[in-house]
Amino acid sequence: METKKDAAAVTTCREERKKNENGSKKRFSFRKSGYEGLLWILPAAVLLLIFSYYPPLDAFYHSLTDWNGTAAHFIGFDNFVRVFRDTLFWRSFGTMLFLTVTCMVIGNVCTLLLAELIYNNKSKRMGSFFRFMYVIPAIIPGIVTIMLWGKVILTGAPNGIMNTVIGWFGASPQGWFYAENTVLASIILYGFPWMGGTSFLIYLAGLNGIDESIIEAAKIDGISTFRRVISIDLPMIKGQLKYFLIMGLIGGIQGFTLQYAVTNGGPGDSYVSMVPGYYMYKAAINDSEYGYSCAMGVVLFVIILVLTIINNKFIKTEED
Amino acid sequence: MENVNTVSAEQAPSAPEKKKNRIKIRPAQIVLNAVTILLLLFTLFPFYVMIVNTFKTPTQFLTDPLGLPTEWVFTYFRFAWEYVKNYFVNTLIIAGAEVVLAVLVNAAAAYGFARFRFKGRDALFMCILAIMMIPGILTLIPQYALVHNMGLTGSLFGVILPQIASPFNIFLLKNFLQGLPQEVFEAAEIDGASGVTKFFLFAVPLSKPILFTVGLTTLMGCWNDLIWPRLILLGHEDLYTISVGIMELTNLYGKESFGMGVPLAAYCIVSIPLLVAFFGTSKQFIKGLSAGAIKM
Repeated sequence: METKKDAAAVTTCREERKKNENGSKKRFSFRKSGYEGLLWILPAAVLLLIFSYYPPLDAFYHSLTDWNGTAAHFIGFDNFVRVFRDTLFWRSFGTMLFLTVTCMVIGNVCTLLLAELIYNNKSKRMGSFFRFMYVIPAIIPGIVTIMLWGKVILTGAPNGIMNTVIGWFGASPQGWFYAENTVLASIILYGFPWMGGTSFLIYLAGLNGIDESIIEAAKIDGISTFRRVISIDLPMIKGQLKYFLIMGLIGGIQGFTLQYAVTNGGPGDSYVSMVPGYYMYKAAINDSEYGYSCAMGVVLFVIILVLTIINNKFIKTEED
Repeated sequence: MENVNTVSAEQAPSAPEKKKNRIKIRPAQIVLNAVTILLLLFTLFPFYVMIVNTFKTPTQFLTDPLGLPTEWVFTYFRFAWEYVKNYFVNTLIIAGAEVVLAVLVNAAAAYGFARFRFKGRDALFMCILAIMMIPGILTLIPQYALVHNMGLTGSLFGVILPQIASPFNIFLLKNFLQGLPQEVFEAAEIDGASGVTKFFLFAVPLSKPILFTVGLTTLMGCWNDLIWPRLILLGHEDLYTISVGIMELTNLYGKESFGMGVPLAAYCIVSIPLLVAFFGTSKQFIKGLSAGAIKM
């Protein structure tokens, strides 16, 4: 009802406006010039300038200094030479790549599987029930999940949940997050079965966006569900796959929450689970080597940039 | 919504055929549901562990961490609450301020980009989008130094201020505002409505769904943020947020080997408020969360 009224009002107003515009064309008006838009953008622009633009520029500048948090002297490219010679940094880089790729593959396969399970569920009621239940892990504060896995499930204690479970099968208790030989496996195991959260909703939205007629046509042709998933569903949700590929890479290269909250990059001083993000965090916050930390940040930035460009090029050529 | 309509329209004529199909498909559907339920049990397993062990005596926790409590203990909750109530207040202040400010500031910027034409507008927008290319890891350390030099460490402002403006949210909101019927704004303009009136009377009510998404993702980000608030607040126990407080509490109890009863009770308590909110608004919640990412 209202829209009709509005539309009528709009047409009359437009006519009036044309008349007005002809009348007062030459006078400059701030409101009509459009620069009022700048006022609207101003608060966000100021905040972004201070907290998003200045810090990375500062990082570039300070990567060339021996900044310790207070004083900084220009030392040229010494920090970068040090980064390239720092075996611990590159070792942590390798660990990060291994963890990122493994977790990304496992995580995406599992969330995609869940999305397909819900998408293929004929009962609407069950579908929304599962959608609801699988989101719950995202509603629980992240720190609670981390602490549960880190201090209760994958602990080295004999009464740790994982040790109890493997004990049923006669296996001896392991150190999990707190032993050198199991810490990486524990990081990968974290979050099993890697389905809960909100990512599956995005895949599900992608699947629901597939034109129903394509699915119907496939059904008439008698294609098996598995074939349909491979040759129709996956190509149709390429956008979502690409999104998670980029996000997973960028997140994986930078992330260090588990190291920060549970393993400390160790166990102990072993550096087995150390990743570059945490290494650089520790260099600045624990050792006050801010300049060196900034240099590592710049190196990581360049790597992420190159990966993003390659990713975009790769996807583009595929589309042509 | 549109999908649902097309589905029912297409399936309507072949209703009898569909019935036949259903009978055929049934066993597959049972397996499918069984698998989904089994995986759900695994997914929720950590929270089962959390809840049952909160009520156990320390000795039962040591010998039988997976079973149901034989003797119910409720005292942990009282101890945990003493810690947690403070975390709640702080997190609510931070989350409240951040959500309100993020929605206002980002929506205003999006409005400026979507509704006004001025020289250099697109270039400015690209400059803001470019920030998304900068990895947070490069920003973290100098940002901390900056906030520290501003004297904002050990203050809630230090946690809130850097997290308000978000290029991604501006991008989302701008897209949404541009998709709105422009006639509404034009009509208001003729009536002599000022920019502020148009913003609050038309732009805000019309973009409720996307504002909800922005508010929700900001809230979730706030709720889960650990490294930044801990960096800013460490040592100021009265200012700890849920994330920081839970981590410190766990470390404290781990160090003194007091057992996990109190931390587990604290985990239970901090999980409740958002869960309750989720149970009440799950439909909008799920819609809001899916809406943000599809636009990519």
